[in-house]
Amino acid sequence: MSGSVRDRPEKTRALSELPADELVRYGQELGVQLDARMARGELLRRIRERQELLLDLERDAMLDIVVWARYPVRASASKEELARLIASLGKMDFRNLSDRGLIALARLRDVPCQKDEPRESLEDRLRAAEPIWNRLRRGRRRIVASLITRVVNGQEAAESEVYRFLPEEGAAPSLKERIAEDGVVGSLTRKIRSVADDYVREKLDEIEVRIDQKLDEIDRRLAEWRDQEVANRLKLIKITLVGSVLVAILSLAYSYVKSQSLDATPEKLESIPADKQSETWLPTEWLDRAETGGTC
Amino acid sequence: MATEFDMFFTFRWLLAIVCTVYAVVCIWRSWVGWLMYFRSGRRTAVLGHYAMVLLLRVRIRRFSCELFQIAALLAILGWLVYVHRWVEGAT
Repeated sequence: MSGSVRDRPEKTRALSELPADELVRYGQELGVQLDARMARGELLRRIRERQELLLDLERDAMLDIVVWARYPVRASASKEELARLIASLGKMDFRNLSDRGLIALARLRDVPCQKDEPRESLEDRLRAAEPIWNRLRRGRRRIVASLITRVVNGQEAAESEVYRFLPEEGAAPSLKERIAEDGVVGSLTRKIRSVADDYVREKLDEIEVRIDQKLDEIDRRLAEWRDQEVANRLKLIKITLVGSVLVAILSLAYSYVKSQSLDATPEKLESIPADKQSETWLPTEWLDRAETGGTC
Repeated sequence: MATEFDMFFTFRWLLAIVCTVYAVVCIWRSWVGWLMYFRSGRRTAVLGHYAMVLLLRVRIRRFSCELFQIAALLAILGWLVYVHRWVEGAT
């Protein structure tokens, strides 16, 4: 805590030197609602407010949120790191979240709250503050997730075991301690083995990253192909509809002309002067009948 | 009760029936073809599930312009059909 306060002037200075786009990115990573069109002063003010809030929040409360969301994190993670993780989570099922975690989450999501407020009302307020699009997106993802789970696991996977933090860096005993405990050969063998294991793990990680990149690339190309196909189908529907509209217009014109011609019955022709009747385009039998005074 | 034979009316009905039947048959054949393919084996079944997930991930907003145009064309078509009734009913 004191370290973070001591580092603050340097951070503040570095923050004011950042270009606007990086400021926006940094603020959004911390969960601040920022827009690239905002004035620089406004951006800095909001980010500093968030930093003040992080100083004010309990680290354990933030840790509770991350554990509730089951994000992999070290127990010694800094508040900023925790805030980044919390900003990226959209979980709205508040079961298993502690009260202090719920209050911290509400404050991080800019939902006003009091310490003695009932839990249910705070949960309701958090749900109400969620944008409608996020709610819809979450619903869609839930459907996709249930489908994928059914494909991969065959049935709904049971809730996993108790959360465990990531191991801390440098938590393993030193070589000196190991030699003192296991002897020279044993400790060196173990050290070499662990180095080899680390090397293999690193290489496996690299291979995994490459496979992931390849899979992402395949997925991206398939998504492009899907979009192109959907666009083509929509274009075909549009062309069909344009054709239908044109035929409908033609049909409407025909119906109109037909209705106009049916209106001109032989009885009505009597009102047309005889010399003008020959100029009409009506059937000759109608004209003949009109001349003889016949009825339809 | 002799009904008057109307060439255009017959053409209109024939066109509507032929186009509808053709579209239904084409869509049905395509659907059945894809379903048979996706059910032909375990791997193709997984492929089918992936295709479904891929379809569910379509971003509707990306095609909003086309969808809006289709909706507008549908509205125009509906209006034209309604006006037909009005014009023919007036006679």
